[in-house]
Formats: sequence, structure tokens, C-alpha cells
Amino acid sequence: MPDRAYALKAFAVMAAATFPSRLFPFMIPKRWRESRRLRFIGENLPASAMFLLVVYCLKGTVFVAPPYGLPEVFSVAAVVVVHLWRRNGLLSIGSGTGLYVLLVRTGAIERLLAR
Amino acid sequence: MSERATAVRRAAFSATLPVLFGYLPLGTAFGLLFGTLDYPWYFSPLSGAVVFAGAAQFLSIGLLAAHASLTSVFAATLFLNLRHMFYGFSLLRRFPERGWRRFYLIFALTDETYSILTAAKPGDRGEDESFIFRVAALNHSYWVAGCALGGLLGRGARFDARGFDFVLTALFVVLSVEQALAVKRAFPFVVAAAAAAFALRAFPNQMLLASLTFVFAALLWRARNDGGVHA
Repeated sequence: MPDRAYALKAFAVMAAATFPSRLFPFMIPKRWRESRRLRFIGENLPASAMFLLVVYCLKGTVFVAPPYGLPEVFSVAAVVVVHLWRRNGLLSIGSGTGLYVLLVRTGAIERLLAR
Repeated sequence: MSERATAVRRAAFSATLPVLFGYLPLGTAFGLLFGTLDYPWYFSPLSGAVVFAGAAQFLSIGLLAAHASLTSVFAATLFLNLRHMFYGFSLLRRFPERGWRRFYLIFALTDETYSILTAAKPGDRGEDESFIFRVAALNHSYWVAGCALGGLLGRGARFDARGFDFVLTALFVVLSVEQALAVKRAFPFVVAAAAAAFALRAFPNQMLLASLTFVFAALLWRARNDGGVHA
């Protein structure tokens, strides 16, 4: 029988450890908020952060062994192309994910490379 | 309900739909793994509801299995989620000034919620606040639902979600494209690429925290050098 009280305490501790990071910017005095420097950061940060989140999601990809990260490369490219074409987020995500699932489950690229 | 309120609801739902497809399988995966610890099934959604931090929750499975001290659980979670300290900078002027909603929104500021919120163009203040709240609450509910599903499916179940984890990657790719079209500037991407290259080598296990710190420093430096006039 696992120790339920321990798990509940651990959840509380984890919640308490997560909140301060998310709270931090909101503790900055209001008068600084309108400063040009903070505005510049606030406006440019999302672009950098989205790019970094993509890299983070793909960082486990192995490029030196078959299939050489090609399912990831093709699927990311598909998302970008479909998105620039239609600007419909769900369509872009759906087609990219569909392609990725197909490529990794069928092993199509490995088979092509093995020929 | 007024037409505009309905429009805000619809906008929030359709903006969070990719997160639904990402959080549901990911939360289920967490619930299934957490199930190996033999706690009652509802402990998994409980964790999702009160902690609401995916990476930290996955990490906690090993810690709880090893009966790690609460101090090390605290330290590990704090460090893993430190990256979130940069996100609020983009939302300072959009979150409500006071009230329980402000605290709820700060609590619920995950990578995905931040991404959706910064991709949306704020219109009218009241409508924007209601949009923000709905996005956060919907994402939170998807995550808890996923954790509950995984907890209920329990051990024996085999759930082959291979490949579907690409949904969140695709979401971030779409939002990168959207950001590129919105900022029309290469600088944030060039800095991010340099930061990523540096962080992957120097701090592979803390890649996001290291690279975001690098980006933050670079943006601070850039804002000082041109006075932020292009902002």
C-alpha cells in the first residue's frame, strides 16, 4: 500500500515550487512595466520562445542513424508549407502530425533508404 | 449570451483545440505511468489539477517511486519550471490587475497556454481577459481529463500513441510561423538559434532554461542599445 499522505504532500510541494517562477514577472513594480526595455522584451520573447520550444521538442531526434531525422524534417516542413499556404492552424498541425505518424509507424523512410 | 461573448468562447475553443489533441494523449501517458505506483486512480488527475506542469509531473513519478524527500521534490520541480519566469513578461499588461482570476492565470501559465495567448491579438480589454481566462481553463481541463483517462485505464491497458506526440511540436512550429509573420524581424529567431546551439552543448539537460536565459539577456542588451525604438 503506497503512502497516500506522502503523495499528497509531494503534490502540494510541487505546486508550491511551480508557482513562484510563473509569478515572478508579475511582481515587478507597475511603473517599470511601461518601460521601453520591458516592452521590447515582452514583444520579442514569444518569437524566440516558440522557436526554442520547437528545438526542445526535436532535441531527442537522432540525425546520424537511419532514418536520419527525416520523418521530423519532412513533417516540420509540411507544417510550415501548409501553414503558409492556408494559415489554418488545425489543418497545418493535422497534416504534419498525420504525415509524421504515417512515416514513423510504417517505417517508409527506412524502407526507401534500405533499397 | 451576447453574440460577442459567444464569439470569444468560440475563438478560445478553436485556439485551444491543438492543445486538446496534445494534452489528452500526454496526460493519458502520465496517468498510465503514474498508475504503476499503485495509488488510487484519481491521484493522477489530482496531480494534474494542483500541479499542472507536465514535465515536472513526469519527473515526479521517479521521485515518488524512490520516496524522495519533499525537499528534493521541491528543488527538482522549482528548477525544472524556472523557465516559466520569463513568460509573464509578454502578458504583464494583458492579465487582470487583481482578483482570483489573476492568480489562477499565473498558476495556469504553461508553455502551451503562453504560446496560445501570445499568438492571439488582444482586442478589447474585457473581451481579451475573458479570452485569456477561457484559454487557460480549457487547457487546464484538457490536461486533467487526460490524466484522469490514464488513471482510469490503469495498468493493464496498452495505449499506442506513438507518433501523436508530434502534435505539440507541430503546434509550436505553427506558432513560430505566426510569430515570424507578426514580428517581421529576424532578430528573435537568430538569437534563439544561437541560444539553442549554445544550450544544447553546454546544458543539454536544462536546454530550455539555459537558452531562455541567454535570449532574455540578449533582448535586454538589444533593447538598451537601440533604446527599444523598434519595439
